[in-house]
Amino acid sequence: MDFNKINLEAFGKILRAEPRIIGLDIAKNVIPDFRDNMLLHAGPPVTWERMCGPMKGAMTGALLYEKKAKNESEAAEMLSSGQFLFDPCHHHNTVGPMAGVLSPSMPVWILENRTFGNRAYCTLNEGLGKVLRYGAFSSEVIDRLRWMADILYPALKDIVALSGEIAMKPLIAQALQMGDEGHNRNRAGTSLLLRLITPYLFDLDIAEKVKKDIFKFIDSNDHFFLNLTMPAAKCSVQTIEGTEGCSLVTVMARNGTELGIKVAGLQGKWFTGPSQKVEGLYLPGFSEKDANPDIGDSTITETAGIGAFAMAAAPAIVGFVGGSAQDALNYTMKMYDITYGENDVYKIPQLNFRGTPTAIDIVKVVETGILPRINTGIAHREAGIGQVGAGLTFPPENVFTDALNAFYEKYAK
Amino acid sequence: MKKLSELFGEKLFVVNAGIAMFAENIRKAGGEAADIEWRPPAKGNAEILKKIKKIKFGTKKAGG
Repeated sequence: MDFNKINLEAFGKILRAEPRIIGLDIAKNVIPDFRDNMLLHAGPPVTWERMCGPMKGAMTGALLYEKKAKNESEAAEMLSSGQFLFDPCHHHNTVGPMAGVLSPSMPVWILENRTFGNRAYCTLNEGLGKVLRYGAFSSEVIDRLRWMADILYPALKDIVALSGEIAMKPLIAQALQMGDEGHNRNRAGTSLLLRLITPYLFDLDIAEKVKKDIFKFIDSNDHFFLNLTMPAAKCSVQTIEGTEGCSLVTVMARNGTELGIKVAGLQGKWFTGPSQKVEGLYLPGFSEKDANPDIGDSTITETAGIGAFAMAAAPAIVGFVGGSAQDALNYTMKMYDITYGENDVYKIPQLNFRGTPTAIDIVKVVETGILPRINTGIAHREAGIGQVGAGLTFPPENVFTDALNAFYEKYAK
Repeated sequence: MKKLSELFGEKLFVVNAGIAMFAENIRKAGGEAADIEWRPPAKGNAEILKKIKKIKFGTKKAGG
């Protein structure tokens, strides 16, 4: 088997992907194999007993949002009773930031890869701080989710119907030129999206105050674009899943207890290890002792060659995650050693417009001993509190050696 | 081409692809040295390295 040729072809498929926003819908209407008693979550599979605090908090919030439980204790009882199925978002072509909890009646973005026709889904971003994805479930969190479903979602759906499909790659490429990396800094991407959709928002037949509320909501949330870079990344790497003999990573995701990776040529298998501590900066009043280990599907951005892999493009991010601008540059430079190639669209001005390091190769990771960098938010370890900071971390090393051993057993022994 | 003995008669600039202590000793002796980040492949794990070589340079199986 010519592994290099296989990887080259797979890499080409990732580059040829053209993720586009094609619309929005309610999760249960569009997400494949999504059942009424199912709750999706970030990362590899996990039971209720092994779920971390913020994921339990987000699950609780999801039942309150769905009006299936009246309060926290009733929700906890239902969630531990076995009547709900917990399943990774990634098993349903979906990605969820942080806890990544998705219940059947939440609205989702629908992205389609124009080149290959595959689709990916993601919720709408709620903002930072006290939000469901960081494990908070107070009434302000649930009220915001309901406003998003009742007001924001139908408006966005109408906007996309008016604007037509929105190509994500040019937006992400432009955002990188403007100081984003597409994971923890999405200020430029959010601004570009808002600039693109606002004329259609003006055209909607809804009250002026509602238009203002929608504009203010998106404008005040620098991470609104994250829930679009994530499914765009998913749409791109999804195309190589199941490619025999391919050693490129298709999924890297955390549930707050464990991090798991999947490899193109090892279809259906998760390689897991403990979620790691995140080194970073904390919001006032919080410290390292409050932090939950690494959590979220947002590492799909790094998997597709943006996020921490493109940190050189986003020197200002160090004000959010810590470190220096030189560190940001160094992180990107190191990632060239563990990736198959350079992106032909996502380019870094600070590196003379060099393409971002794209497509993690498990063989290169194990051979060099260099682990992928992850750029992430930090959730409070207890349910119900929310975000406490942001920072940087790595996957546990064993996931790559385990994957390499399995790859060797299957293809080279 | 210079002989090796002549090379060591000149001022040297050393690139250290090894543990940092090697470069430190050169600096202490008044020389100039730059460290490059280096570690043994697969962290020196011979068994893993053998597997990597087999994956990279030569094998058999189609389809696993």
